[in-house]
Amino acid sequence: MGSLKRYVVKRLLQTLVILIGISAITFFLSRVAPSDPAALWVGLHARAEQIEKARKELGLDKPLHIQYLIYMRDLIGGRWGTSYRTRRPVIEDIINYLPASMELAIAGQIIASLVGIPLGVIAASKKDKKIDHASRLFGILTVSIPSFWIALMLQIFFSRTLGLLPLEGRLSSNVARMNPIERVTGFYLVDSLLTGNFVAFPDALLHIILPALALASYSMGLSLRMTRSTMIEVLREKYIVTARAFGIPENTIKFRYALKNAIIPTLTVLGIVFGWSLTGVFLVEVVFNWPGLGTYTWRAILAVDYPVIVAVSIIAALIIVIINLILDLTQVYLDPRVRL
Amino acid sequence: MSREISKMEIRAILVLLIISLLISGATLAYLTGLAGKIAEIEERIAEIEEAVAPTPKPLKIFATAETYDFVTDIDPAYSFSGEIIAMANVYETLLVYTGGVPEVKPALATSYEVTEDGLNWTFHLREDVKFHDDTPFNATAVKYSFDRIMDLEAGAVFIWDPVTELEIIDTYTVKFVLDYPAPLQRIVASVYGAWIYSPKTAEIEDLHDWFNEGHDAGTGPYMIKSLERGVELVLTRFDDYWGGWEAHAADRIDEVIFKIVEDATVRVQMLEAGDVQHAEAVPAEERKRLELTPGIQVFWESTFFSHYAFMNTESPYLSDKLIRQAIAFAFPYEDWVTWGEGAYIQPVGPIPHGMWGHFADLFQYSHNLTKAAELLAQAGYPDGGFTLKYYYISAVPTGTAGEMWKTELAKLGITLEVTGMTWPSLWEVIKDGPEAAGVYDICAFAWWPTYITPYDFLYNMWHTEEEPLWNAGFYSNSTFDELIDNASKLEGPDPDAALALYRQAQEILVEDCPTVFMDDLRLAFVMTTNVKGFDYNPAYGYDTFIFWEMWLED
Amino acid sequence: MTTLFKGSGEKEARFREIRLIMYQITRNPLTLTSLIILGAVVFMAIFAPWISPYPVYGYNLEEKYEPPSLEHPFGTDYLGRDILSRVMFGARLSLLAGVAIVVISVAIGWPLGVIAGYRGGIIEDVIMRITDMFLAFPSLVLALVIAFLLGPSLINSMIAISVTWWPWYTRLARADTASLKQRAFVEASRAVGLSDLGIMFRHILPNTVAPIIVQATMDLGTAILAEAGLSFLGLGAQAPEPEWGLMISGGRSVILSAWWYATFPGIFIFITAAAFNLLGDGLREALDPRLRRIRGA
Repeated sequence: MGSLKRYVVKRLLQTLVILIGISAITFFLSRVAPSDPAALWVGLHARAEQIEKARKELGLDKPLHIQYLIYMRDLIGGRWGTSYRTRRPVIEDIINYLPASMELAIAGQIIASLVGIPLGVIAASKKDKKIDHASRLFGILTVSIPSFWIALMLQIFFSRTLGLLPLEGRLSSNVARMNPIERVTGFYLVDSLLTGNFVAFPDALLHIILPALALASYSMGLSLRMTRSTMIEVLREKYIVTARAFGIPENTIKFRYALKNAIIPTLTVLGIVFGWSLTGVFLVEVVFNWPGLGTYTWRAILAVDYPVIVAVSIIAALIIVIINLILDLTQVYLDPRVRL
Repeated sequence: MSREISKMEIRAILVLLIISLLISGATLAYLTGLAGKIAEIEERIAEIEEAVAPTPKPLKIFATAETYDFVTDIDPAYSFSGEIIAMANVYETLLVYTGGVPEVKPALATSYEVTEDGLNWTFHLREDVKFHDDTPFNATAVKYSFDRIMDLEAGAVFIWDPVTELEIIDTYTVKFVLDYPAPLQRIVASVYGAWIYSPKTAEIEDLHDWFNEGHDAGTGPYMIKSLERGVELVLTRFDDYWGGWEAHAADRIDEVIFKIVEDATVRVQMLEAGDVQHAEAVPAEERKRLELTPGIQVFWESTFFSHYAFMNTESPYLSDKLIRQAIAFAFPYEDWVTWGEGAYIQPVGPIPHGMWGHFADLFQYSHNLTKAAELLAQAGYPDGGFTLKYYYISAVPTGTAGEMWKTELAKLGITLEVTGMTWPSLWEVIKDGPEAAGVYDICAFAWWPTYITPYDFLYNMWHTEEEPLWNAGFYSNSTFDELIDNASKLEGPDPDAALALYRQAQEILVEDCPTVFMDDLRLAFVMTTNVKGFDYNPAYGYDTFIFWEMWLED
Repeated sequence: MTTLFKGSGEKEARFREIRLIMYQITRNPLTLTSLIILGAVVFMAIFAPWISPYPVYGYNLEEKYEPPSLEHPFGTDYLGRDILSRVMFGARLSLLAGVAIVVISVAIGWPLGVIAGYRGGIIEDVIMRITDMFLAFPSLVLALVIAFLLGPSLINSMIAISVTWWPWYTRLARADTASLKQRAFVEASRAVGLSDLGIMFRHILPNTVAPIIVQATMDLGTAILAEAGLSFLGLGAQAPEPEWGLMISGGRSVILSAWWYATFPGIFIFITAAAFNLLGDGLREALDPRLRRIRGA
């Protein structure tokens, strides 16, 4: 187990290096921007002297590396800056908007998994038969759909033509006024149930359906393809065939050998797909005016809101890196071959 | 074989689901921890509010769907942007610009006198006025507000340039001493930088932050109830407002909700569903449909907001006046107005219609390709043969104007490259000056006044600038500079003389043609029919309502 | 996953290989369909100026927002322009963007991956950590930031996306190289005195072609999607370019009244991306059994 510890430590150190690298990249990128946040901070008809003053106040007149050091120091200390656009601490904004994005990503993930994984397994088990071809085609087609376009099409069809589902947002304005959801986790579906708000729950549910579907359209195909290929790999592995040939009981094969090895790639599937969702969420949020991190970041980018851009990049990278780390560590734990 | 596989499937899927639940659970737990603390605090605040609030009665609410997060800075000294739509109802100035005769009317000041030389202005303040925090309004408050903006050098402080001193004569009299004559009556009516607020705020630490958290200290008929940036701003009625609430007492507006709804389609839906009484920026197609819809009314109002296409007078081709004039003749003015479907009117000169300093009989370029071709030939380019770069602000209609202009210029053999960029980037390019590599040939943006004077337009956009800021055409004409500088000094003591000078300056501008005047904007106010008493004052700009004058019939 | 052994003097065998692969591809009905579709799109892109019923620029205010009709099968847009014609011209932009993004990403990522896989040690570590860093980055956010910094335009969005994409090829190439490194012919080449660089470029690089090509073909579809996404957000192509994603964005504000504006360009994005994905998938299938046959022996 000593080598496991060493591996874990090594990976953690590498993760740290990666995170520092990301923070440096984002920081310097944002400082290189061809626009002046000091000017934005002050306002549209500002005078030159006011802009200069703001630049000093915001610390933008110091040399770049000093700015970076100050920034890193604040970052570690939990002071992630104030958004130039909303004038609120970035951390506060992120806490406000993150649950919305996560709820959407998870909802999309659930739909995608419920469709993609079983289909992928079926396709694998009936390989090369009609069902396999059909499923694979389905997988490839769904991956080719532009998420923002399908979002608009869903809006047109379900909202405009059929009038069944709401056009955008997380909650209808009426419900938001009359039966506001008390915040516990920030997940509307969870919170409304937890606080017994049975007016808001169906409303929130109706609102999340279309965006989650739009999001799931891509992940569905991805899940399907990857599940299928990993299943095929596992089923074909020589050791399975050999084990069977040797007359080892089927159950033992399933639980001790096949399952363990099927989990690893499936976890990777999960990680990759979820990681993708975090970026896929972006476009869908914009179309549905979903008040999540995606819309927040997009507006920040357009407004050259440095603190937000850097903070969100680091957080998003952090999430992905952590997920990868967990996946890698689980993989190492389960499969001794992978250890370096 | 297939039966075994299906059992393994199920287990694999189960494990998958468990793992995804675990990950979600972990995230949830972390967020719950944080959110839990926030929830606790919010709960306590709610409890306190409940205890203090009066018994609820059915409220008359006016809700409006706005396109962008208009709240930039609601500190009355710093405010310089779209939040005017709220500020105009929460704060007041000494006088208000009416645009008619007389051009200003009393607000927090009831009357004023000015000496012959235009340098000493005495204002008599209104008595029995209270701030929202119960402090009485008087000369001290005026001096406090004025001093603060001067000290901070914030927002629109430049409007006070002519003022050297503000003296308190007695509790309800103040005197402004000017360095040079200026139209102070219009300056104190400015919609930026002239708000009076409570001197009690001097006791607050980090006052600027305090304001931006959602507090106000004004005298206006409404107070800020809550602010959630990017989501909504709520105003509530100030019952002790000096103007009183007797007229249409039962129907006056108790609460105003500004909601941020970025999607045009949704704004329209909300309006039709009655969720809001007004929707901003309704697309032309929808507006045409809504004009015919019962229950919806549409008002067209002129504004002092205009679009300009600045030609880079230092660029290789556009430094030639003949070419600039040719380009100006190629702009499709009528088609642009048609495309606007009522939102645009053909401008005359650089000053918008209806504003003091506008001359309706100035020469105005028109869409005339023959004339354009002639001028091009005179300049030595009978068949065009060159390319111009046109920059506009992304997602703003000036891009479409560019597209139309491109078609027309193509007929003259000139290629127009139309590129959109965000305002911050565009402003950077402008500030980099004519020497910069990536500089444009033409760039387009809008202008609107801070306080009502042609000088605001003429100075900012065409006065010689050493460091480019707004003079995006890098235009420099000393005669023009002199004319407008002198005119602005005469505005106070001799307005007619000032007008004559402004006219001369504008004639030079039209002749030199450094800028194409694309349009004067008209705003369509699309509202439900129960909204009454609406009267637009273009001095405020944006879609500013004066809610105190309005009521909701129901 | 290699099938072609360059430098081992088996020219005829290689040609037979290629012909077999082509046969495999065309035999698959799906792949065949995708080739036909792609052919049509490319044809449309190349010959747009001749076959489009209306010009791509210009305006006609009287025909603003007309629904699909015989004269305008896809309807008209906010300047009265024919959407079908603009979609045809848009094919040029999308195909160009897709190809450019993939070519740049491959040009950067592939050699890096080969170097990393072959040299190993510190070089590999450094390259792979940098790769990991880019992979950890939310690619869309990074692409957005870069596109914004460079200034929104079609070319800049292509650069921005390529910057976030090359790591995938590096990873792919490295994994392949790592396994190739063990092969006998590499040992032999080294014994003969071939330099590292020589081995890398004459032996390893060509033999990692297959998976790269497969990935690249499928990525063409995704590249088109990514670029359309950036334009949709306003950070890619700008008006009046007839870019598909940009048109969808324009159609967004009028979906209640002019649904056709957002619908048709999107259909084309879908068709083109699907065709590339199908082709890539077919390629992978065609190349795969080859591998099984040779390796499994």
